[in-house]
Parts: sequence; structure tokens; C-alpha cells
Amino acid sequence: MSTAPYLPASWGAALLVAFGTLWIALGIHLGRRSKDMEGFTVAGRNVGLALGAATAAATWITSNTVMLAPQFALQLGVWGMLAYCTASIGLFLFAPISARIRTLMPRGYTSAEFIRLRFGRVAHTIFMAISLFYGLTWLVSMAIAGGVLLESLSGIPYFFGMTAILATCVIYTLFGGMFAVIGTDFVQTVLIMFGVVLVGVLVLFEAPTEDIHQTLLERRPMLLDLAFPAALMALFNNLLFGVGEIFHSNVWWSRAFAFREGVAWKAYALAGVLWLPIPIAAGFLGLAAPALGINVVRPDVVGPTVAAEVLGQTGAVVIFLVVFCSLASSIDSLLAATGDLLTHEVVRPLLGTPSDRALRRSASMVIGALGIITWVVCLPWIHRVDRPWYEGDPVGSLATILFFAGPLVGSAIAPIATGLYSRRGNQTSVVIALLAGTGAGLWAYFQLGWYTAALVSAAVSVAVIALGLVTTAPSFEWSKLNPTGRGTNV
Amino acid sequence: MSRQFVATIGIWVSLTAAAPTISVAPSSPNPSQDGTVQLLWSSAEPSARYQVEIAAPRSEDGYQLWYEGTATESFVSGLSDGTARFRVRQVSSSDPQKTGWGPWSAILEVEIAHHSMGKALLLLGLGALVFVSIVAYVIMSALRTREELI
Repeated sequence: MSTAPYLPASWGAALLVAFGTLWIALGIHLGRRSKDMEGFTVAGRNVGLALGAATAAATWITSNTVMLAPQFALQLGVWGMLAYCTASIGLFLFAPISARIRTLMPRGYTSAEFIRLRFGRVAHTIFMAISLFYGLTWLVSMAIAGGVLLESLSGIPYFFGMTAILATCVIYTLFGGMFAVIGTDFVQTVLIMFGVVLVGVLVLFEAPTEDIHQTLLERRPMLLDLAFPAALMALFNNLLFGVGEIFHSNVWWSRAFAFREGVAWKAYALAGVLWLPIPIAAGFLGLAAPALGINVVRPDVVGPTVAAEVLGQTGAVVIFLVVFCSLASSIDSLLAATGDLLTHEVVRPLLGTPSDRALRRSASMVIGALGIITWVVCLPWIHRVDRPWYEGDPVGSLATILFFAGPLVGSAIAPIATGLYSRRGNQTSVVIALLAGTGAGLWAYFQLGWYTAALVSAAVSVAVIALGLVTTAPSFEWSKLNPTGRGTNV
Repeated sequence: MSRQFVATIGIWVSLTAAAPTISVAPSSPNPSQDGTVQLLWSSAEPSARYQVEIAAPRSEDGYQLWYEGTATESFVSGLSDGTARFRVRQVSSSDPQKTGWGPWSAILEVEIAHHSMGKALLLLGLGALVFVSIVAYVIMSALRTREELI
């Protein structure tokens, strides 16, 4: 492409081996308690506030945050930076919802289980398709992003970088389950927050805000324009995309099940506060790029490019660690949560009434298989990383790829929220809301822009669900969500 | 005239006579509705150094230097409505003093036509309505059920 690696490959390899070994050792050590299925999938339902808040914040700080927040700022200006920050609202809103989940389903395991018990098989099938598509897309996109980023930062070939990141996460998640995921998330959160804020502050010294303002005014005036149409359209789209991601994904539900009673809502609210400075600091890198005279070859690598260009090898080392930590904290969560989804909703019914030991073994095999599938899907990109990103398939940037899931996740917000709090509504309205919302969102994606898809999808879904609520009787019995009758329920 | 001299002249002619080409990436729409342009440029010279200039819409300053270096792509954002014009020229990076800058490429014109404010405000309002509805529903329901919030 156009830029040489910022770190010698030997440094990159040393960092990769050192931190990969650390995560595996830590994960296996922490995961010793994952002896039964309760321990493996929901960490014994006894995670406290500190670990709970850290794991939620770390999971939400993905490679997308590190790469997409600066892209939003560079592409959509000040509004774009604000739009990315609104993703924290999803965590705040999920705080009361997670408490509700914990109360209604004290022995629950997955978000799809809720949909099945609350609305029925057809809604469950559609929801599973949405969840798996979203989960696998996120998993694959992060593994690819990791391989590409490590290559651009350190010259480590894509194949080795992508394989090393994925293998590290698969190994410790497979052996340690949710205990390992949550424990490593805590350490990773500390490193990510320290790294991103440090880079943001150091870049601020290099490019004072007056210089940034003046350069943007002269060369990219729309980035400071409060009447920037695309940015205004993106504001609530990003917010609703984040809300949809968190409301529907088993990554967040599995944590709600894992937190100790009374901890869930505090942990998610605190995670929202912890997460908020990250996109501000990362987004600042995107706005600073023009003032620093840095040529941005593609929008989704502006953050790492600015850090490495301005801070040299020190910045490249910090960004390398931030990227590695943010990738690991999200990939492990996705492996665990998607593995739970498949184990409980697909494998378990096939096995009949399996023993705890057999189910635990199946969960490990599912995680291993997920890792292999992801690795295989990521392999073809090995032929693309040496070519400009726009060649071959017209895949676009990270934003256009990620927000393709917007129609799917936007359509799930209303069914989840109303399904948890209202005894009204039925399978028909939920199925129509999911399908009509997704369809409308896809139309918006292609006709209006990627920055509108989740918004349009959520709006259609809310309208359908609202109609369903006023036309149905309050007939659902909450006790159906806790079929074993164990634990507390309302 | 020695063969080496002829070869040198040949290289010089090939570098200075042929201007590089500049275009918009296939995935970057033209006209652009969000003020962004993904630029690409190239030439037959593998180690060329380039200058890219932009005449931004509504700018009265004419062409301004956008980039100078060996990269062959650049992401442009924040442009206002109107026609943005780009051009590129090259110099051999192995001996730039000797060869000097070549001619400018043909001018690339990109239309910047932002979404209408009416459409933007409509979606902003719709987003606000959906968001407020969801927040109000969740908070009121959470307070009503009074679960673990206390």
C-alpha cells in the first residue's frame, strides 16, 4: 500500500508472544473454577461489581472503538465524534434491563432462550439467525482487523498475526470459559484505558486544539459544520446501533446471568462511565490528523496511523498493545457467548438430556469449532492485504461493513425491551417487527447511506411492536421464563 | 552519443512526459453525499514521489497542495457542496533534483452534493423520537417493576 511498518517485526513478535502467553496463562489460571457448566458459561453466577464493570467496559472497547471512533471524527466531524460516544447509552440502558433479566431468568443462559420462552419457536429461529450472523460477522471482522493492523504496525505477516490472536483467545476461552474471559477482561481494560488516554494526551501536545480548529476550518470545513447533513443522520443511527447490539447480543446477556444478584445494573452503569472517555480520546486522533499533516490512506486506520506517526515507536508499541487487548477482550467474549448460544440452543436439544460433563465438553468443542471456522473464513484475506483495500470486492471501510449489521440489530431493540417488561405482545408482532425492520433498514443502507440503516430499522420495528402491544391482551405468565422454578422470579 | 546517455534521456522523457493518472476508488460514490472522496493515483514509475493538489468547492484560493509523498491514495473528507477538483504530478524519488516535477495529470472532478437538510432533520427527528420512546419505556417500566434498582 503506502506506509512502512512502524515497529520492527521482531518487536511485534516479542509483544505478541509475551502478551499471548500472559493471556493464556492468566485465562487458564482463572478458569480452574470452570469445572461444571454453571462455572464455564456463567462463571457460577457470582461475579462482583469490579470484575463485572471491567468486563462490560472491556468487551465494549473493541477494535471497532479504536479504529471506528477516529474514523467517525475524520469522516463526520464533531457530530461524528459525539455520535460514537452515544454508544455508551446502550450500556446505561442495559443496566436496568440486565437487572430485569437476572430477576426473570435466574437460571437462564442465553438471549435466544428468552425469545424462545417468551415468543415461541418461529421468533426464536429468526432471532438465532440474526444473533449468529451478527456474532460471526463481528468475530471475523475483528480477527481480520487484528491481522491487518498488526501487519501495518509491525510487519508481522497477516497470516501469523491473525492466527496468533485467534489461537490465543480460543485456547484460554476453551479451557477457562467465562471465568477466564471476565478475568482477562479486567487486566485488558486497565491497559486499554491507560494506553488510549496516554496517546490522546500526547497527540494533544503535538497538535494544539487551535491548530486543529484552524486546519479543519480551512481544509475540511464540513467537519466543524453543525449543519452537516450526513453527520446529523448518523447521530441517532449510531446510538440505536449500539443499543441494538447490546440489547440482543448474548455477549451482554451472558454477563447479566453471570453477575451476582444486585450487581448487574450497577456494573453496566459503571461500565458506561468507564467506556465514555475512550471514544473521545480515540476520536480526537481523527480530528488531529489533518492538522498534523498526516496523509490518511483509508479512514478506518486513521487512529493507529496518527498514533504511530506522531509518537514513533513508543506510540506504535502502545497502540499495538491497545489493539491486542481490545481485540482479545472482544474475541474471547464473542467466542464464549456465541459458543453458549450454539451449545444451549442447538447442541443441547440434539443431545436430549445430556449430563453436565457432556454439556461442558460440548461447549469446549463448540468454541474450538468456532475458532477454526473463523480462522478459515479469515484466511482468504491473506491475498488481499498486500493490495489496496478498495481492490477486489467492493467491501468498503470498517464502518460500511460493521453497519451492514445495523438493520438486524436495530430491529431487535423493541422486541427485547417490551418482551421483558410487558405481558402484552405476541410472536406474530415480533416476527413482523424483526423482518420488516430488517427489510426497511437494508433499504436505507443502500438508498440513504450506511449511517441510516439501524435508525430506520429500529423505527419500523418500534412502530410494529407498539401496534402489537395495543392490540393484544396481557396474557403472558412471567413464570414461563423460569421453567425449572429454581432461583427467584416475579 | 553513448548508450548510457541515451538511456538516461529515455528515462527522463518517460518520467517527465507521462503524467500519472488520478481517480476515485470504486467504493467511493461520485457524487459524494457526505463530503468524502477516496482518491487513488498511479503511474508507471514504481518509486515515484507525488504531489496532489485540490481546488476545494467554494474556495477562492485555487489549487492547494493536499499531499506530497510516495503514497498512492488519500482519504479526503469534510468537503462542502460543489465541485472538487484534483490533480497529481510526479517526480522520480531516486533522483528528484535531476528530473524535476513532471506535468500535471488530467483534472479529476468530483461532485459533492450533501443530503438535503430536510432529509437530515427528518431522520434526526425520527431518531430522537425512537430514542426517547425507548428510554422512556425502559425507565418507566424499570421503576414500575422496582426490581433490583433499590
